[in-house]
Amino acid sequence: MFINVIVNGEKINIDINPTKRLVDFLRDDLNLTGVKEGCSEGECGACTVILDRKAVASCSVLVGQVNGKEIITIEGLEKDGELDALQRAFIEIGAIQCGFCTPGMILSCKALLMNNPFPTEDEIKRAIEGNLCRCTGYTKIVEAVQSAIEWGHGNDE
Amino acid sequence: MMNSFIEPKNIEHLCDALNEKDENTYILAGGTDLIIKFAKENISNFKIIDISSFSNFRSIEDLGDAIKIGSCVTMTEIENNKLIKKEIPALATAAYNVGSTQIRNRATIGGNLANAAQCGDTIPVLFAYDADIEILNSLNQVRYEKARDLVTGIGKTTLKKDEVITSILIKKSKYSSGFSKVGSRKSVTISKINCCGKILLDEDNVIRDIEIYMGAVGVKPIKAELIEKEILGKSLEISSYNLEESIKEQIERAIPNRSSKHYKKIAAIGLIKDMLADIRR
Repeated sequence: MFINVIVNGEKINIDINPTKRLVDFLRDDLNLTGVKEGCSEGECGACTVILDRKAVASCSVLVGQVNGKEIITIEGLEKDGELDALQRAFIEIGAIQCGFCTPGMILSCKALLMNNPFPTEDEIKRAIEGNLCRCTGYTKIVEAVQSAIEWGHGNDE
Repeated sequence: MMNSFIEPKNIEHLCDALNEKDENTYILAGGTDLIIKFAKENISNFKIIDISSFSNFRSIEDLGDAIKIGSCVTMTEIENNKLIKKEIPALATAAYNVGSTQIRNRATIGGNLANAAQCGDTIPVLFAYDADIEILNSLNQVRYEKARDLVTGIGKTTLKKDEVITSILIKKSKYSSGFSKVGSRKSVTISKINCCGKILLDEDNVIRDIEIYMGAVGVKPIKAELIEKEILGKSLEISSYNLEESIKEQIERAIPNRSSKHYKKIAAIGLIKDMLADIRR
């Protein structure tokens, strides 16, 4: 089946098995390995991507379901060699330790800021409820999102 | 067998797909249960009828005296919908408390009902509101069934092989409602017990009519008649601790042979307290 999809701003038209999971398509066919697979059951959030401005777990979506839609992965946040404010904030505040949850975590936060540019602390916490991090204890992550908002995260999306 | 993927574009197309549906064919909506099941149970041979983007099933409509919720409306859409918040507040609370943001962005109300999990959070609400379910078959015939009758057991419904849930109809009323759940952790939790209360208040905040359904204390939500009887005629400000005996007895009757009953008897006191608080909110 031919699938038309925009991934990180690039139009892709590809003949692919539509019953493949989105996470496998992104990692194996498009080589976007920033998408991590953790629990494979939609609980850990490591495979989070942004689908039509919403955070979704790519392990619970089939490729056929994204036909005509737009996807953003962590690889799509950097623009012309410049990291997104969220990415910079995660690095500077120390919101990354092992890093496995980071792509999904940042994309959940990015989806939040796309729809709600000035979230409260509770709204940030709720947005990352579905992203498990076993290293940081989440405090630094919430701080990083707040910093990115202070710095101006560029709500140009 | 080759896997196949059909995304129907119109009703005729959908009916054709339903007509050809066999035991390896699955109707896919949000996928938050189904695709996980494929991975978990190593199901690699399957055919899909994807209705997740089917526009007929994607809207919330105000019919004047009722609200029609398309089967593929997501939890996120329900929790943010003004009409649902006003008319069926317990449904908005239930949707708000399902899984995580990622799950709520995909999971659908039709899927929650069709899967008929014991812990399904929207099901006690649909029972309490006496929701009518609109069902389509491969011959393009429509039938209606009460949500209470549609769900027959854990993962069991009266849906036939060639049928699909198209929408959920809920009549508007003067009732207010609340939802609460208890799980093993605070967020992203699966209900160990949940409940929906729907009440009619008079001008003095006295409860004139009440309907309570509790989930996960049986194969499908049960009507908590003992608790209803105890609450009827009392003020909305009532403390659930004064209802302790009837709450415990209700759980005893529902699951007399379950070891979890001891835990659930205590948990249910907090559950009723939270449900009443949700109504007061």
